[in-house]
Amino acid sequence: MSRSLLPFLLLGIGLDASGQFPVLPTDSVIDHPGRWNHRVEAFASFDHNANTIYNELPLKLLQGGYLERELRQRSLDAIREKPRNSAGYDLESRLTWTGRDCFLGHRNWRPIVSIAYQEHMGIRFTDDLYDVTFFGNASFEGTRADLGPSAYEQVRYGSLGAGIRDARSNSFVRIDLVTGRSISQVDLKWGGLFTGEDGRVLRANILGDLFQSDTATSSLGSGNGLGAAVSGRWEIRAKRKTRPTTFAMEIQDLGFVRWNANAVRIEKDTLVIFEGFRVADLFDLDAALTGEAQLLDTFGLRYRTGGRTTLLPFRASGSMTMCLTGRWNATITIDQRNLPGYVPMVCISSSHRIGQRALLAGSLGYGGFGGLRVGAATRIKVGDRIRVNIGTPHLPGFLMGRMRGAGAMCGIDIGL
Amino acid sequence: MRYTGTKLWVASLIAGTLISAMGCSKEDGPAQWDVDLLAPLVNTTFTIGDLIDDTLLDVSSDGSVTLLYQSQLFAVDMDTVLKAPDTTFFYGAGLANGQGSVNLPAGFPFTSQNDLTRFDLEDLYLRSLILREGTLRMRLRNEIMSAIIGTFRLPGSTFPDGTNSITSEVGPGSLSNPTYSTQSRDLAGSVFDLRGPAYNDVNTLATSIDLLLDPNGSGATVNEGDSVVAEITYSGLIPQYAKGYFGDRTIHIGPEESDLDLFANVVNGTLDVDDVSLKLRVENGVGVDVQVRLDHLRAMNSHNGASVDLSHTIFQGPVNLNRAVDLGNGYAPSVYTTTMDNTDSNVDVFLETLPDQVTYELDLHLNPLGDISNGNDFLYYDSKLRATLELEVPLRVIANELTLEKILDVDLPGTEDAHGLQSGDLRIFATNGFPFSARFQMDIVDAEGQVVRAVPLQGLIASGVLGANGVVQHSVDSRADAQLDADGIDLLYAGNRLRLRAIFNTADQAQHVRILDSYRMDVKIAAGAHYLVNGDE
Repeated sequence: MSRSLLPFLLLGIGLDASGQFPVLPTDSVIDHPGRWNHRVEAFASFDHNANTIYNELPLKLLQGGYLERELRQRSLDAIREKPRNSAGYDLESRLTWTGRDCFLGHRNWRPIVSIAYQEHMGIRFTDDLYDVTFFGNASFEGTRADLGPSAYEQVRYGSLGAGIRDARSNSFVRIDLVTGRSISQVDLKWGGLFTGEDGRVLRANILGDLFQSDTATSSLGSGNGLGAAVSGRWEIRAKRKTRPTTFAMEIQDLGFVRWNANAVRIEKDTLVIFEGFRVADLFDLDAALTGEAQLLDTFGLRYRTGGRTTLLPFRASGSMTMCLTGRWNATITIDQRNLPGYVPMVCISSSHRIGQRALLAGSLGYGGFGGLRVGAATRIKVGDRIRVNIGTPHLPGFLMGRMRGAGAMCGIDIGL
Repeated sequence: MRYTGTKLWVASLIAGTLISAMGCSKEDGPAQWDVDLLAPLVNTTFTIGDLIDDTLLDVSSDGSVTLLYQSQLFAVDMDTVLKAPDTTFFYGAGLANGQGSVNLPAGFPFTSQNDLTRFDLEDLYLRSLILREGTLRMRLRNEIMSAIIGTFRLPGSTFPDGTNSITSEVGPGSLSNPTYSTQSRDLAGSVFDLRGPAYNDVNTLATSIDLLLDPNGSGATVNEGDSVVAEITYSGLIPQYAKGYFGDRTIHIGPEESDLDLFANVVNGTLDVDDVSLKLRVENGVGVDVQVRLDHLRAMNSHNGASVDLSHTIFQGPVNLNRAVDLGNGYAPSVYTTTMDNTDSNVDVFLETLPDQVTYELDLHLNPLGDISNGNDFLYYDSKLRATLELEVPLRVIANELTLEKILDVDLPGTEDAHGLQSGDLRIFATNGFPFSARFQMDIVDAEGQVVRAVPLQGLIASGVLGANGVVQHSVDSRADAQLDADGIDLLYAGNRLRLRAIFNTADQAQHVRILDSYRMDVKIAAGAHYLVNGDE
């Protein structure tokens, strides 16, 4: 293999899809790039991250059961120490087929077909919102809890797409048909809840809206919306004689979903003052204890239905990869995802080939939903045709207690 | 060696991931956490109109409030005076034993009888009767080998359709195998002249019945013992109008009890009223003179068992009621009224018993002077002899531990086994402009009303500040707190109920305090709750 092709092959085709995981670049010894006419890649990842909330909280939320007060308090203490709170997760599973070359007469163009299921959640929230949610409003007696600005989005969707990939540069473009499973969006631009002394009054200032797809049909097999997305990568190599360097720009799932008319929404720009239900009789407590409908009316929480088009939680990234030696590579990636609470993330990865069958990588990242992260990943060559990838974006999340963020990915790449 | 280390690291990572994933299963149900919530629950403005129905209050120009309460004491319906029992008469004919056999041609009148039907109405002597409801039924039994046509007539009566007969046909029968037929007609609106054929009798109805062999048949041979019987039944007779002489007789009423809802929610304490007047109004809607002898009128308090008999001169002698006036299509009742007050009766004590029931016993003497109407006593369907109590109480009172009670069925979210509400407290804030204090009491009671657990409640809603003129000058802010702990909450979820009592004491226990229409008490209740998120099933 010509050494001049090496820089083009250094960028991986699977793991570099996520800026959160350490980059495992394509290695000429382990991956044998260009050797296979067809390739099938299966890939799954889960990545949770937060900048203030400790892992023990979301883990317990997932596990169920009672959340100890001390556990909630530890995250609250951490929240109070920082000016910004965010959290989120990405869940993705994808199966991709890459065909042989000579697609449409172009020697280096290869067809790709990809099917995926993804789930993304992002949230940014105020300290008081967490406090009210996990401890109630009693401690805010006589004061205002600032619930906004806060935002939340959770979206689930599946996609089926087709496109082409340039075998030389790994640049690609793919068009996906997207089926929206569910979405929940809350954008609280401003929200304040004043709890009067002794609870005699609740005063809420609300500017925000809520949108939610049809909750009756949000299971995995059903769809509540339809849309389209485009993903692509453009990669160029700087012409240097030493330490070849490659620059890449990538966009994933830039698209939309049109949610059907059964979706519900509430848009509020209001001030609500609640001093209790007005009753005619002092003894008429029955209605006050059971008046759910009255409560909904009082706070204007009645939904209205209607369709809406939303952007997908697309991700845009740019990266620069430098080949340091024959075994060492370094990559710096910066990415941003269209989710509440996500800030640009910078990740520096370095990989090293060990022997003829293993590639190890480590990463140091900062940003996204969380703070500083230390990741690790490896690729193992099994036999001649199979490569197994596993990794984590934040190794301490598994090894140390009271950390923030955890994730794992695994993938298999089969050459045919 | 280095390669082996890598494999171990990878294996550890995979194992860790799997363990974490397995740990994500929600074996313990959805995540739950407890929060402390604080929110206003209800607010209300309490006026005297909330304590006593507005319709019972009269407000004078100076704002003083007078309670005007009316309740029916008793009502003697028409059926007490006039009862028309179901009555059956039999008409028949046959060939007696020893008379052999007779061949009768088709259309032969087997029998034709004119008769007088006398109704047994005891002391009533009716001359005419218009029915509101009733049924006339003719049932034929035939033992002759020919169809029989039976016709029953009431010559002195008129059915609503202008006729006065009923006809039925019964098929051929035999002694051993008689045949039957039944024909009925609605008597609603029928007019009966009960003076008989000579118009000089009472309770008597002229009738005739014809039983003849079917004119289109072939006749029949009648053997000895064969008979045809018509059974005429008057049933369900309810008069719309009756006229006659209703007799010189005495009807005893009672002892009976009548509910009094004025103090239905008051379960304890005393109420000292300054001035009371009670008007007894008796209305006679029956066209008969009546002499009423009241034996007693007793106030009963079922909560404490207290009772007081009303004493007044009315109980010493009869009350004479004139007869109502017949207007032809209705009546004008005669009315008797008498008023009692503190000076000529013990009506204040009677009322201060806080009765929820009144018992009474009396005699009604009809026509004490005999048949002075010459048989023109009358009654209509809605004629009643009824008595009402009209109570007038200026609200100048002394309340001492006067206790109002209400039992609430608390419908809380969740189930007995899983409920988010763990414990809570109610904070009652009042700005009281009434001249009485209020103390609240909460208890959890079972289905029988027995106290299962008392809810601790501290604080007193203080009375408004009285001025020298006995009128409230300033409202007073107060607070009371009720604690509902986890055990109490569990008891409510177990199907028990919440009993709420308000205990009132007037600010001045030495003299009567005037209640003004302008008095207000603003009440706000806030609730603190220890709530388990996702705790409701």
